[in-house]
Amino acid sequence: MIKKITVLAVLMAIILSGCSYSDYTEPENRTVVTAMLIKRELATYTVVLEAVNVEDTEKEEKYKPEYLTGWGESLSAAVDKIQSEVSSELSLFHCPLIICDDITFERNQNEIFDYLIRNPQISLAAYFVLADTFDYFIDSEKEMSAFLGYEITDMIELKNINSDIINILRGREKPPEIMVDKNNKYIFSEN
Amino acid sequence: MRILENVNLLKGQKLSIKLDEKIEYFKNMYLKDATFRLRRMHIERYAKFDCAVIFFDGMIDTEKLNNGLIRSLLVSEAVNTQNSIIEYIEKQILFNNEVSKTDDIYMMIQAINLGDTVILLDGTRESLVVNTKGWRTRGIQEPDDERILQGPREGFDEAIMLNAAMLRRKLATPDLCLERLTVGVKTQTNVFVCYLESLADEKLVRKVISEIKSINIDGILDANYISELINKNRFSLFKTVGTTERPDIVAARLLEGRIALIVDGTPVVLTLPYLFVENFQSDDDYYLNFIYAGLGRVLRYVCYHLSVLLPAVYLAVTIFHPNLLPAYFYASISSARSGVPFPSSTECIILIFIFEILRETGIRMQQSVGHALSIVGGLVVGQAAVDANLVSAPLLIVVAFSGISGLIVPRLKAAVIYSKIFLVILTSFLGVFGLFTGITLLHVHLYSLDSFSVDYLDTISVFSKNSLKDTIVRAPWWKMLKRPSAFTKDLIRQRRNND
Repeated sequence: MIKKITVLAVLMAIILSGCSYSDYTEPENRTVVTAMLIKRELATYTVVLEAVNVEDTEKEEKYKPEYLTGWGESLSAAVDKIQSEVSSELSLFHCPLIICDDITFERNQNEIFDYLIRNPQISLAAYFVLADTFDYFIDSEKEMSAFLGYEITDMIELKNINSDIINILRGREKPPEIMVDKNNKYIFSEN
Repeated sequence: MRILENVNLLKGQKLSIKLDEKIEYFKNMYLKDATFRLRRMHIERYAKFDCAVIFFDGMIDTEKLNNGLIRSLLVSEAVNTQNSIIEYIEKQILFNNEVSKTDDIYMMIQAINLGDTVILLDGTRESLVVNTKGWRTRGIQEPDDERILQGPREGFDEAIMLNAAMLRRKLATPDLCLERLTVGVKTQTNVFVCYLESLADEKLVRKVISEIKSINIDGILDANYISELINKNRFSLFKTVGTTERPDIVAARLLEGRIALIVDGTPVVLTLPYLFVENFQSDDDYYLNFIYAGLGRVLRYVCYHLSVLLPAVYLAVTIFHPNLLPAYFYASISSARSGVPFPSSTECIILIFIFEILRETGIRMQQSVGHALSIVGGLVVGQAAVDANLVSAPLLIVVAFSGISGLIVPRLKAAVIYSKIFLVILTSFLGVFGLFTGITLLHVHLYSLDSFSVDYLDTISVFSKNSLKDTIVRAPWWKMLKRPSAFTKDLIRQRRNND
């Protein structure tokens, strides 16, 4: 009887944990995403993912980035579109940087927040940055400006206390006192 | 010819009075034994009687037999002051150091099997058993598996009497008890149950003796036969009966109130009760400075855990939880994996088996070939396998490191291998959850174990300042004033001058 209860308890724990064999993905079958760029024009979201290109990189060479672009009516749809075009599974776990078009964020703040918070793969410790163009990031020839990044958790906090989040992200307004020293960080150096 | 299936059936049986019938009896018994020797003699000097000596060739010391026994029987001129001829021979004729009388056929057979000589006399049921043992032994050597940096270099031999003598030399006290038992219907193997009477738990001693007496097997060729037969945790991965080939270890364990079993024909001595912490203890811990020894023991604990957990943690992190690794580290693992035909979990189990094959082959081969094999197996084949994309380099490093770490705790060899594979399989299906389920199950198993009614994790699970002095690290000798409390009657190990 005790054995039966033990086996049952273990099985229940396994089932309730949600952890299953379906999560099994070999490392070579994952595409490691290192940055995500978001933009919306008209009713279409454009998402560009910077991924580590393992296959085209020779040994002892720094990993080359590759850019994967997808479109869709929502952020999820755009990411799914990219997923459908690559053979391996997109892994957003390692994405430390999310760059969003300034206007897009202003107009679709709630939707973007919703996606970032609800997607279990996106780390709440990832930095969120506003930019007026993607060219800075994709084209290394372009000049860079300074961008102030906030962790997603901090952004949630800013939103909760009804701060002027857009202008704080734009650097036009100072963040609340409690966040000045500990949370803000310059993602790119000023040219 | 007499066919005797169980020599124990002869216990209490007696021989005829007539010498011819006695001789006939033994000749019939050993008709097909080419090593059996019988010499008949007629004595007329100090008394007139017929006698015969029986023994096995190769088991006796010819010098002892010829000069101590046959010569004294044939040429003695001592004046008979005894009532019977057998007492006269025993007390006045024989030069040998050990002579006893018996009329039990079983005792006679036992004696000649151990290298003694039996003198059969006409006109009496009794015979004389004379010590003429003279078979060769391997000699005292340092055990290969228990080499130490500093300390005694002697190890047990296959001869039980020599082993007992080595132990007696370490524990020169009448408190040392060596109770003899015979096990094995065909082998009639002698077993000494050794303990210090003032320290060992009497109930435990009686329990062990009763367990050994209840063994009914045809032969005991090594101590492991007894270890498996008296061990209640038969399916456990973890040893609950200790083994050693070093007399100093046995002496140290007896001084803690434990019991030792010396088995004839093997240098391996069993000690019990045996606790989990003993797997991590080494002789060096006690013979080297406690600061240095402490570091060694901590390393053993760390390496044991690394060995068991590392492959499973690697799989859990790379397959199920890549977010726990930095992006470029994960990318390099991913890059190393590309082109490998097997899934990581299968690859891991294959590599564990390959490592064990190489290790086992290295042990079985001659030492010189073993070293070459390790180099060829470890470096050449490993490098070739990585270059051929048969295995990935990171996993190869993980499994090799885990395997090498496991070698630091040789007493837990089996437990490490099986636990590692068990955790790898669970992790392959359930990720970190599987890993922790496995660790929990292993702990439940460890907590359920006992060694002869003493909790296996006694000194770890029960917090006691005294017990902890010899667990994760070894306290200096001047701090270890008491013995472990679980199995000894007398706790005081050391008294200060002012106590």
